[in-house]
This record gives sequence, structure tokens and C-alpha cells, in this order.
Amino acid sequence: MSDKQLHKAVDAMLADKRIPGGSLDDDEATMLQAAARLRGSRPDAAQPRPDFVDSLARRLRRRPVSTSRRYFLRGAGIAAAAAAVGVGADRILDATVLASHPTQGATGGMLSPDSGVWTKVTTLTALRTTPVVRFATGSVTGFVISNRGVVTAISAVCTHQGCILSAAADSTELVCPCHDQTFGLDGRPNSGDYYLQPLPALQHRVDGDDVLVLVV
Amino acid sequence: MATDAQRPERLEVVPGGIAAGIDWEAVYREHVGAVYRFVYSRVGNRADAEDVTATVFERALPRLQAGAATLQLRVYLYTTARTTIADFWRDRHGTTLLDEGRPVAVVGSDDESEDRDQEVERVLSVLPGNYREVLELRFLRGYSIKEAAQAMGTSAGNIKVLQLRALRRAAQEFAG
Repeated sequence: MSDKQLHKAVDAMLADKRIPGGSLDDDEATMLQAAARLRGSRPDAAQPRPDFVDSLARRLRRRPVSTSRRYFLRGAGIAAAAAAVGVGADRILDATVLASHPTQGATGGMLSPDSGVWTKVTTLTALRTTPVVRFATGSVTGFVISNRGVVTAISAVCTHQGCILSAAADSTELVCPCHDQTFGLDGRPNSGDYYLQPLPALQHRVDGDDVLVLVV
Repeated sequence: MATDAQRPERLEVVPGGIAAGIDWEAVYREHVGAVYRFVYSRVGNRADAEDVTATVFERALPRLQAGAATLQLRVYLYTTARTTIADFWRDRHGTTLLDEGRPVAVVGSDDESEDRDQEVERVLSVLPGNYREVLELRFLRGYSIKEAAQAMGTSAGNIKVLQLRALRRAAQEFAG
């Protein structure tokens, strides 16, 4: 890039316009980046337009969680394998996890407290709008899950290091905030990053509209 | 802080940081201004800053939805922003980012712009007087070449030469 082109690039930046495309050498790029740092430090500069903030929020709201979910997966091999056979990475991952951990049990056992009390934690009505409901009693944090009309209850404590899981926005999986680990609604770990025990199930029963769980 | 920035995936849980019902949009609105300013200061114009900021949040959306704790999320957002800005410079101009190798400094405070202003002030303060002046007039105060020439009592041609020299020197200081 000649000095003339560099001046054009500077003028574009000063007019708050995109720098014309094309190759720069590192020296030129760092000069323009230094100019950007200066421009960005103006006290009145660099506030996002409210219209932009709103429209990006709308775009994010429209994004299906299932496609975003690939960011939870690590390992280019899995993504590449998924791309090669044209199925979702999560399916490949299930197969990968099962193949590499053939002895992993289907459940993490049942949490049955010695002095448990049947406690109402949610209702069938609530589960119709929110199929995965998290609850916390004094000592137990868990999920009540309604999957095609079948109600189950499992622990919400990640079996890795004990962080509290959240339901994904589309209620298809349980997400650990600490280490990109997810669990299926059946409590089985979804990702190959860590070899984890499944989430323990909780004893539960339905009484009329109420869902009760045996907890302490 | 530098250690946190370099290893964003290994942060500890902040007690009480995980809300039961994650309002990710509120979290987005809390951070979008600071991320935009961070990006703007590294791409230099509104259109590109908006594109890059959008990509940062699209990449970070699963984290927002999972309800990461505040500090953890800030580190993740700035790390993601840095990667996305580096992608921008590489894809658009085939170059690397000025401070690519350096850790992102993320402090507990919400005011990222404060750090950046200090960095800009530090760089300006170590430049020769005429370099500092031409950069302030042109890039901070938006003077035209002609106006800057008048203010500094020199020719337009001199201003053009001087501003490139000053930018080159400032770039070395930012990178150093």
C-alpha cells in the first residue's frame, strides 16, 4: 500500500467509514490499528447506536439454540466427522461417548435420603409451559422434567465438580456453567470432555396436579 | 487478572452468580456497550464495529444462555472479542492484530473504557510533542488536514507526512 492509499485509509477511518479492503503489511495494519485506538478513546465516541443494540438482541432471540449448541462441543474431529456424514455433531458425540465409555451406566442411581420428606416442587400445569423446572429445597437441587408426558426428576448438581446445572433455553439439555459440560434430560453426560457419572435420579410422584419429590 | 484472561475455561464459580431463570438478554444489554467500545477501538469505524460485535455475541450466546457468572462471562466476552477482531484483520487485510499476543486485561469493574483511555494516554505521553499534537488534532478532535496545518503553523503536506510518522511511532508504543 502506498502512502496515498494509507492516507485514503486514514481518511475513511476519520469519516467513520470502513477501510477499503485489500492487503496491508503488518506495519500499515498496526498504524491503522493505532489510529483506531485513538478514535475509540474519544469521550463521545464509540457508543453503540440504540437501534443496533435492539436489532442485535432481536437477531440473538431468533437464533435457534440447537445450532448455537455446537459452541459447547470441543474437538474439530467431532465437528468434521459430523460434517462428513451430514448429521448433527450432537448425534456423533453421543455415539463417540458411548463407544469410548462402553461401561458407563444408563443412570447415576437413585438419591433416596434416609429421612426424606415428600415435598411439592412444581405442578403438571407448570410443566406444560416449561418442560424442565429446576427446584431447590434445603439440601437438594434438582430438575423435574416432562418429556412427552413422562415426568422424571433428577439432581441438578453437575457430577464433575458440583456446579448447579441450568436448563438450556430450548429445554433439550442441562448445561453446566462451569466447564461446557451438558447432560441429556435422562441425566447422562453429553460431551466427551470429561468422563462423568450420570446425574442421580430423585424419587418423585404425582398427586393430582402436584409433583412431589422425596427430599430433605 | 492476566492468568484469568489466558485461561477463561478454568474459572471458579462465583457463589450466587448463577440465577435460576437466566435472563440472557439483560446480561447482553449489560455488556454490549463495553464490548462495542472495545471492538470499535480496534477496528476504527461504526459499520465494522457493529459487524464484529454481532459476531462476538453470536459466538457467546450459549454462554449467555447458560448463565455464566459475571466475571467469568466478562473474561469470555473479551477473549471472544479479541479472537473475532483478529479474524477481522486477517480476513479483511491479511494481517495480524497489533496486540494479539498480549493477554486481555479484564478487571472486575464495568468500565473497560477506563483501561483503554489510560493506555492511549500513556502512548500519547511518551510521543514527541509534534507527534502527539498531530494525533490529537486529527484523531481525537477530528481536525481536517487543512485545519491541523493552520493550528500547527505548517503546510498540509507536512501534516500528511507527520501524521503517518506519528501513527507508526504510536503503533510501536501500543505494541510494546
